[in-house]
Amino acid sequence: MLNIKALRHSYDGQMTITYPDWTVEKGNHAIILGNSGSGKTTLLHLIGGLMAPKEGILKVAGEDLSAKSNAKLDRFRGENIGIVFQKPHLVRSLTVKENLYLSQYLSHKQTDSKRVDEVLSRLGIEELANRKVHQISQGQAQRVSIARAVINSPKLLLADEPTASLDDDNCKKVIDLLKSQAEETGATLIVATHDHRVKNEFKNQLAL
Amino acid sequence: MNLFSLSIKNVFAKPLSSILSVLLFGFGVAIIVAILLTSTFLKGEISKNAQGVDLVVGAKGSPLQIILASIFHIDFPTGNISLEDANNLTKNRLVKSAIPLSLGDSYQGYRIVGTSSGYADLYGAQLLSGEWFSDEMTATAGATVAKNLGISLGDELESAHGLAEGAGGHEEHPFKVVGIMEQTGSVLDQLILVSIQSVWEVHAGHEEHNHDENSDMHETIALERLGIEVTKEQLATEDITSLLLKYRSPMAAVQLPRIVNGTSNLQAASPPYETARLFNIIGVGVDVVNVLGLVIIILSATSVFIALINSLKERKYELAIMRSMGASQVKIFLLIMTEGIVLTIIGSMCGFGLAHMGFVILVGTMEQIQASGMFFVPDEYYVMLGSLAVGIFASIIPAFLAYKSDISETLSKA
Repeated sequence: MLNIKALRHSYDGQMTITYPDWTVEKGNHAIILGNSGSGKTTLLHLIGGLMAPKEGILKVAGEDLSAKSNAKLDRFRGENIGIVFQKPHLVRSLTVKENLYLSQYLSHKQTDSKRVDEVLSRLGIEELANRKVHQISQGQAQRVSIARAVINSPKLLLADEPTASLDDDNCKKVIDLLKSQAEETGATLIVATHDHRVKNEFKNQLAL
Repeated sequence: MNLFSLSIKNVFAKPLSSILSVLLFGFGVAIIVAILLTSTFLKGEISKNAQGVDLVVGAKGSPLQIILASIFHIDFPTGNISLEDANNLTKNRLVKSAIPLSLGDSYQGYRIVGTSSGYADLYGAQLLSGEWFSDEMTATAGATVAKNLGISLGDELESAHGLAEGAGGHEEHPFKVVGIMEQTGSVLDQLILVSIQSVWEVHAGHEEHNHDENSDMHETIALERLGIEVTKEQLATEDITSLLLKYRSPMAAVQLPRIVNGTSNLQAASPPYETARLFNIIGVGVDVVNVLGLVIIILSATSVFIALINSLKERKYELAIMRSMGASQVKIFLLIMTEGIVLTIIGSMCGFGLAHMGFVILVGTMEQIQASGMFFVPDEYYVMLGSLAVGIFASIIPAFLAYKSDISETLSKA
């Protein structure tokens, strides 16, 4: 599912980060551990195709991302990657349901309201479907953002610091939720975090 | 869900700033369209009323005043010209036809025009009922006059001297209404037509004609070009106000005004030339208002620009996440463009609606004009295209900024 070899990345004029070689098999959920500034978000962005790698090999879902043009990366993301960010950042002018429709539209899929209902009910938020984004709580918004990430059945589900501001109970719940959602959609989950409470949940670990 | 519905929802999600942009744009467009409608309409009215008249001849004075008084019946005449001078002029071979006008009396604010039958023919007027006026103190009323004053056949009108309401009267010489004209959409609807002879009779007053028995002064002669019959005495002593001439050949346009102005008491006025001059005078005001409209549109473009830039700041994470979900740079560019263009299109539609509605109301209050306000001027297409261009212009920079923004950088700062 994921194959990293001699991957290096540098921001303009700044120090270069060299990532250790790493492999994630399909269904083998994994975690990237590291403190702030260790480059884990950058790695997650590289894996998610949000930017192109500068050196080394980065194979995601069997495709070499370094060889892709911007437009092809856009398409690749839409079809293969679902990302849960630290903050949900839902589109405020839309309802919960419309946010999910938007996700389907942006990944060039047909609007499928059955699939939307299914995902919402699996996450236990079907009653929020027609609410505006500002009418739901932060925790609910995070569930919506998870729904948004899995709606298109991505091959890879990425999560960036999903537990950063949560207490222990909720931390465990969110990780379980991510895992179960990944499993139900057939996605491989990769979490990037500095939160050591999450560490023991995953066998495949990459420490930066 | 698609790009268009998303941009519509984004526009409606910020009602206050959207309303500001729409209002500004609407008012700018409304001003420009209203001016366009009014000036097109006025030009249409003027050319409709001036049709078939190549030259107006009146007493010496302002040519514009002659045109206004004799064609549009809105100003006072410059004075009178003698029938003899007028008749001599019509004998010129450059003149194809001539219509005499005798102005100066009115009935309840509507002008009484002494003329020949050619005047009604000029506007293709038909009788709704009754018959045309004759020399025996009879009158044919225009459609609007008849409707507004409730005049019917057989009514007697006591004309007043002067063109204003309540001026001194000619009670002893009432006109009998024998006919009512159909609507023509021209100035004729506002007029009461009588014969030249009748006007003279009203003004003859009490002075007795010298009844020289053996005089040939009472012999009638026909002034064919003018379409009236007068006695020799009348030809020598009476006056008319003006003449509406039609040329026989294009050559006349060059020679005839010179001949007229060379005659001591006569002044020639060309309707196209004078109305063009009138429009030049009004044109300055029109330009000022047009500039005002443009300034408002530029302001509104700025407001659209600022609204978009602000919303970009607020939505940069949203947009970056949309990119992470597979949206291409072009899609984000088009999204922002569409939002700006939607704002300007809604604004422009409001402006067009406002201008046309205002015009309908304006036309409705002007009884002398029978026109629907829903007519469309081809130039309005240019206003539409122009407002679209302004919308594109206002949104292209914000859209480009959104296009350029680096998703990974934005998201790592979230």
